Amino acid sequence: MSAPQAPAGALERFSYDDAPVRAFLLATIVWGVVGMLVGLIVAIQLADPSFNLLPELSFGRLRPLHTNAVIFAFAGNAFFTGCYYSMQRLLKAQTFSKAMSWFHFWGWQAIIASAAITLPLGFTQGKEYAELEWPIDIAITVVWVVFAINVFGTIKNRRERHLYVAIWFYIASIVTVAILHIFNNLVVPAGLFKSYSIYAGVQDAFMQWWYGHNAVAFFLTTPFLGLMYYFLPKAADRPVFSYKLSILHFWSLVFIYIWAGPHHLHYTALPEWAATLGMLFSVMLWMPSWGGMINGLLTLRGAWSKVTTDPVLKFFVVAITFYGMSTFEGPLMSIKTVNALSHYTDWTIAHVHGGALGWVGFMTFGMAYWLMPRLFRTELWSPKLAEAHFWIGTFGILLYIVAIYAAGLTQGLMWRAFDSTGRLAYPDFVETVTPLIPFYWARAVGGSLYIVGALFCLLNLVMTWMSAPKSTGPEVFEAPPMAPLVIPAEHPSPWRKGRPAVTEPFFNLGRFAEAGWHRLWEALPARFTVFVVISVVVASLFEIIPTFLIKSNVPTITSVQPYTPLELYGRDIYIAEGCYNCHSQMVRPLVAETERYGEYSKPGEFVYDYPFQWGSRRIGPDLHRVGGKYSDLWHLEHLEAPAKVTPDSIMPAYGHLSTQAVDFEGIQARVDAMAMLNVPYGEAIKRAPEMAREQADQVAQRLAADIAPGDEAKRAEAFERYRDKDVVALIAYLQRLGTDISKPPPPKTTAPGATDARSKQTEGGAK
Amino acid sequence: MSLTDIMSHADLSLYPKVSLVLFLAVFAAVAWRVSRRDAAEDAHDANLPLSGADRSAGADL
Repeated sequence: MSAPQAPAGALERFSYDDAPVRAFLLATIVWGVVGMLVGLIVAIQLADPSFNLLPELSFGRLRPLHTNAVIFAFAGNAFFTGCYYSMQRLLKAQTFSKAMSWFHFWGWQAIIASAAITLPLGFTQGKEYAELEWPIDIAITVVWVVFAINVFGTIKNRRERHLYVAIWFYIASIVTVAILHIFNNLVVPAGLFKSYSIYAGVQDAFMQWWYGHNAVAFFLTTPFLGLMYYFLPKAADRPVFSYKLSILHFWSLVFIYIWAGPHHLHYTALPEWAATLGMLFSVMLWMPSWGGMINGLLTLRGAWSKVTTDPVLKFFVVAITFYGMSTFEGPLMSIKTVNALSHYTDWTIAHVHGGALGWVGFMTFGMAYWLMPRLFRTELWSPKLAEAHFWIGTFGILLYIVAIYAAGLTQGLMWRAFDSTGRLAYPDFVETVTPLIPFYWARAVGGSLYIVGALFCLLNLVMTWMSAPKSTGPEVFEAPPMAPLVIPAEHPSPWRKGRPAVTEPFFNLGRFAEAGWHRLWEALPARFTVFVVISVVVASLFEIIPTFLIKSNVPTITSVQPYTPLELYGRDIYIAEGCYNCHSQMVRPLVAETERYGEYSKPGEFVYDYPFQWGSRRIGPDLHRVGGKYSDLWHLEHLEAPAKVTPDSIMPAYGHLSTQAVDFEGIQARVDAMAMLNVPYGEAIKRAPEMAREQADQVAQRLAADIAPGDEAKRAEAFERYRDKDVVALIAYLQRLGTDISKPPPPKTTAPGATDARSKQTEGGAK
Repeated sequence: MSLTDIMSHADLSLYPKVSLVLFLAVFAAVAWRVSRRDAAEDAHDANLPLSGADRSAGADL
């Protein structure tokens, strides 16, 4: 099928709507600088905990702000910038609706601003990269739907029949992110800024990393591959090296990526078959990812001399190189034995930042420098500053990742080191933290250099914009209307005529081999989108259905009971403070871990964990078996001044928890929400505040007795001081962690009215 | 017998290996199919970003 040509004289005149593109570009760089500065602050807080100045600005609350800002504000706005610019050119049509473009722009910025306010205030779902609470999630859904309508409307109004490969990547990103966002954020609200995931424990972990991994895939990879397939040929003035390879790249990623999420949960309570499946599909990702990288680099064939002089191409070459590095390392880290060492360490952070700073960041900056003169119809204000940005940014990335790779390997090896007597060589966790401090400072220097580069970009953008001509109208373009669809002819095989019907499949196979049908899809966006959705949904369901339905995945433990109302409130404090950013709650069945932490974690221990809190990084020790390990007073003193209890600790102080009062009356709404999730709360459904007060008094009495063992007056004063404070609820939660497994099964009458199916599928007490 | 019962009695230990074989087969089929695409069509498609669609007609609206 050759490309149809419109008759001369049938040209239509139109213009492109680039005003939102300019706004998205500015937002990209501004939010990028903000998000990276927050990243620098949290990096310094790890090197020196005295930089945790306020509760709202402590590591646990700022780290989600950093990740959300750089993912959704920096990378998100970059995607929208490139998508709106390239989509119009590739489709030869103005954006479907200017009003929708501006609604998208301002809606997205409002979402980012609301995240910047709510996350430091501790409003969070407690799931990485999905922290934002349900009202903001609904706003994200609305804005995303408007974005999708705008893109598909533009596709409908196009003048170019054929959809270029970049558009496929945009389509896949839009539909898959919508699916991931909706299904991972299904919650039961317990107030305007508090909710509980409808999934618990193992299932929640599976859904979270199905989402988390594919957020990387479909928010940070496929959109930027779409940008690569448009902007790299433009910058190099060469067509993509192999269009065939780009088709293979696209479908392989869409098919394979969605399966790989369970590699984030190796050696956890996730079923073994799911983890193995995730590992295998991760390894398979090597092929298409490197196919894409090679396709990108070879697009520069014959243009390599330009790389020496053009900062745009420099950014693109290093970005694609980091894409290759990250997509080599990712599958490597998904192999179970490698993951046993790398997981929970800074190795993961180094891996992520190679991809984020190198691939996403440099693709964005390269695109930005290419766009500036075109969007503002003037010369780039300072090519030399762009060149300086490239070099300082590259050096910053290298310094960052080399330091953090070293930190990750150091800590991972120290965790598993045994001495000659068979004991842990570094039994105190903090011994494995202090050697990392020099690496953390080096990371902060590397990150600072990268931010200086981003500031150069912002300066260049602002100055280029300011030097733009003042009074130019929109440029006018010409193109013929969209050509009619040409359906490839039937395979005219002379062998087909007169053959019995049974031979038809063989002739159909011949048609498949001709590949005409795929080219037809490329001209039919609705059908193309349907096949993308089928690829993603079918792959998801193949993992989700067994994970949710197979009873043996989560053998119930009779002695595991719901959290008490006070413990539930304490758990919410744990989530609000972002403790999961530093502490895991998952003891893996590895000797070094059971020696350090105790009995390995069982799937049945998490059936009431809405959401799960297994974590992904151990900046501090695992907490799943911390219950009963220390006294209440130890916890109190440790929370108020960690370094006094554990010298060299880098944990922030949580003294404010000793002054903030528990909202006892608000606990009822939380218990009611959990009851809606079928958690058997028994009498707590009617009197949660009273039960919480009773338990708080018990904890406060124990604290008071330890604080002033022989002084009645001081004891009474301590009791009154702590009996209604947040710290009591958090201590109650921490003391409960991981203890149910060693308790005897409760009598059946302890939870009157309980109807939870989980308590009926018992397999006896824990072993 | 519910779907839960059926799934719970299924042996999923071979699930990853079967999936691996199936997807490698599909990958090979797609690779083979893609390799047979018409070169002239591919050249046209690959040149879409470089076509004249984003070049100004030289006048303002």
